[in-house]
Amino acid sequence: MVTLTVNGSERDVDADGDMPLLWALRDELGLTGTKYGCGVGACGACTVHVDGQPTRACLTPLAAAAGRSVITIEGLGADGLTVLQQAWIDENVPQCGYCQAGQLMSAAALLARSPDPSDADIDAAMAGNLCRCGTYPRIRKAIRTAAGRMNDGNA
Amino acid sequence: MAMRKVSRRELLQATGAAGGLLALGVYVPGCQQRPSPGNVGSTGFKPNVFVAFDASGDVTITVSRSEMGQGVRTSLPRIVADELEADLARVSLKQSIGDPIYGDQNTDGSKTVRMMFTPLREAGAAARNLLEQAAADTWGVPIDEVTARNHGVEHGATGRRIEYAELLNAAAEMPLPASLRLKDPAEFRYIGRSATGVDNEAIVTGAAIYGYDFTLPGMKYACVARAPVFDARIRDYDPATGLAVPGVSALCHIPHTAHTPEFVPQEGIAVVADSSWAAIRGRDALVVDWDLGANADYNTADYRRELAESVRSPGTVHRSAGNVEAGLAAEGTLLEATWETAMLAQAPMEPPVATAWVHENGDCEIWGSIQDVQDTQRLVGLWLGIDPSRVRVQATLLGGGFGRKSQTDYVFEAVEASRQAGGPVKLIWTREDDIRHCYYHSEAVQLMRARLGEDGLPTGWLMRAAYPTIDWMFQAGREEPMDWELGMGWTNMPFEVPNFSIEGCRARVPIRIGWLRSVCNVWHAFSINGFVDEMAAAAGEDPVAYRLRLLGKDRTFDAPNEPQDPMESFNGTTVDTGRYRRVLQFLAERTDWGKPLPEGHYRGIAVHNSFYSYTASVVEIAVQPDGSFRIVSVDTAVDCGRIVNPDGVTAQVEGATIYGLSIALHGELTASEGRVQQSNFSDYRILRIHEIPGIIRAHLVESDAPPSGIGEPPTPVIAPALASALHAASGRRYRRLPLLADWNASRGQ
Repeated sequence: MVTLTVNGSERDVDADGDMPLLWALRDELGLTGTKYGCGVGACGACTVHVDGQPTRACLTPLAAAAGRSVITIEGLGADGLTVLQQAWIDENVPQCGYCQAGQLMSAAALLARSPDPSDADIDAAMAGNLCRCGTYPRIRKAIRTAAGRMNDGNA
Repeated sequence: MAMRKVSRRELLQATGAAGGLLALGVYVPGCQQRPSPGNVGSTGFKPNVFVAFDASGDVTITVSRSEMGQGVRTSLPRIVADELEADLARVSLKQSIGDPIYGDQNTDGSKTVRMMFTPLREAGAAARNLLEQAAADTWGVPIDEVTARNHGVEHGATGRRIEYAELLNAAAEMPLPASLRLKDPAEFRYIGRSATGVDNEAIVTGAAIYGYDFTLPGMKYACVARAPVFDARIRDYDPATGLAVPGVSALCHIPHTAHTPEFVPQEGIAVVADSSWAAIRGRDALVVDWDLGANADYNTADYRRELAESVRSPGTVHRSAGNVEAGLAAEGTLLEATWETAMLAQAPMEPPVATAWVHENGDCEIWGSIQDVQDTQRLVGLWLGIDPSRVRVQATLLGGGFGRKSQTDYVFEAVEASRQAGGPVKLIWTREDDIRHCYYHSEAVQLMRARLGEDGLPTGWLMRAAYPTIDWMFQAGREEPMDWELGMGWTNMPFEVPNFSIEGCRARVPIRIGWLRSVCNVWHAFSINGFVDEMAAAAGEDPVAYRLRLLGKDRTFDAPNEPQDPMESFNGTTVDTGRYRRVLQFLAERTDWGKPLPEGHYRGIAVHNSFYSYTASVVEIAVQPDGSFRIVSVDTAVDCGRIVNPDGVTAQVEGATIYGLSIALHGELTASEGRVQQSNFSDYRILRIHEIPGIIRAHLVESDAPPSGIGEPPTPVIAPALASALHAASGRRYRRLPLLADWNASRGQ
């Protein structure tokens, strides 16, 4: 039994502490927004926030998340769409959409620490997130749009 | 399932005299109006299988094709809603199951909008026409005095309006309209206007359900230990090694099967468990002793030599003109070169996955990431030995497809696991499974030989290709490229050459081969553009100017080797060399082709016709002081006929550009001892955000031609345009994919 906070609620997970956080979230807690893409930390589809840090859930044992606060895509806009999510919709970023939860979690962490990121900041923060549909140009644009709106006080 | 055009008389006979049957110009079997009662309060008004009103007037539009990022759930309903004059706020979507009543549902070949545009217009118009007639009858005015507008019908002369909701009862009893009144395209309100994806909000909140996310109460998870070499057989396995892993509850044998029917799985053991994690661990722990069989000697280097040897000898002629031997024997410059391209995996971000439930009464339900739900229904029926009507197949959203999810071996695995273990089973593939057990985009070797006359144009042109055929899936023993494969970029080539021969040469099939975005067009466009560039250089002419001369006069011809099945040829199979010319000129103008470039910058260009669309790309690179290069920009022009969703088309161009750059720069899988050596994104590289060009531009040609493909056509022009730029930079020809390795090798890096 491992206890952790997921999207603000304390949850007990009855699973082996070796189970990657990814599968615990998906199969044990039913939070399927966090995606499997590679299992080896090479694609970023499983990115969640652990104590605010963008983290690959496929490489994080459940036990390592014990007592910590995990935010998944389901918790990102729990009180309504965030500026970032709205920018994603407005720039029509998704194609298949499968990688976008991970993209958004990486982008949200970037904007939290760097509200006005440069192009190089964006590339550095997002280089670990693969998109096979090739939505990268729109990801860049949506991050800039969101940063602009947040800095204009529209957040 | 054939969709065919029928005469009006035939249609009336087919749909009977019961009244209330719709005049769809395209006859989709079963796609007639169901008898509607006079009062639609309980059942609604369902004029055809794509349109259903409830009593409040809200309408549900059915999407019969799979969504995998190409945007059909956004574009298809807008076609119906436009002709229906529906208020989009009152439209909801339903994703259909596989059922022949929808006509063809194969989401493949960049043909969804091409195939569905007219039938969906007609489905929307037919419903609207009934509502218009109902309004005209209510008012006692001629039909041509009324106009449907935004979920109601208006009488302009008197300013009266009736909402659709008020007309449903009457419309349900209307007789067949004498003829369908389609909109003038100038009146389109959704078609041709950009729209954001209908599933965007669900996607950005994590609510969207993909095959990997589909869950049922009590569901088990399974992962398969499968043949590491194509057609390997299980000699023995040790069940205890799998069952010892906590959470593993059953092992199910996936039997070895002959290659047909298509898409059947490799032999393996499905490890069934309580969680994805337990299933993966159990699979990894299971010890299986394999008899690797005849393909264990397959390795890339030797196989490449076999293909290169194969194109040295004449092959089967698939299209020709004049006398190629005579043309090649003439006076003038002789050119000859060989192109080699690498094996690839589609690698959608979501690996293959499906959930199956074989019930105790033998009926089967399937949910998953599936490109053709109806064919899956048919094939699973065959597999289980039951009528397809007892198989229900529902597509979830697909986390990418790119051709991989047209081959549903993973669905059979899920069905078999459920049948043996009992209850619903979600069968998941890991990334390693995906890369190592793919239906691969094959490697190919192509030879080009031409003699140029005094005018610099070819008097004779020989084209030979050797690659393993996808047709192995449909008929065992096929060992050379098929007509339809050479028809993707070679036999439908637009150039006017007096003597030529296009030949397919022998290539055995040592590994599973399948479709990848643009399929054979990828290597055909690479070789043909590369060789035309070389001919242009030999003629001392600019690549654009030379291509225009090589095209000759504008003309049209029927694409040779196209299936004559009207389902495949809907909207025609004509190749129009004028459109090929115009897209090239359009892009040359847009990019100011020929203008002086900054120091160290070089450009290349390529043009290609595929899936009845015409595309051209200009790639500009900047060579760095250290000898590496950076891609500055990619400009792509597309003529894909009438466009339903311009922003959707732009997104496909952007995505296909990046997909094409992954192929061009990095894409390469290799085999040794029959096994694919790569296994994940760490060694099978696809482009990351910092590697993309700063500028990717789509230039859309305005056209009122019938819609044609867009998901695939922007892909094949990228590699040859980049190769052309690399030649401009270095003076060396780049004839091998991937290009980055070749560039680095040629510069001693």
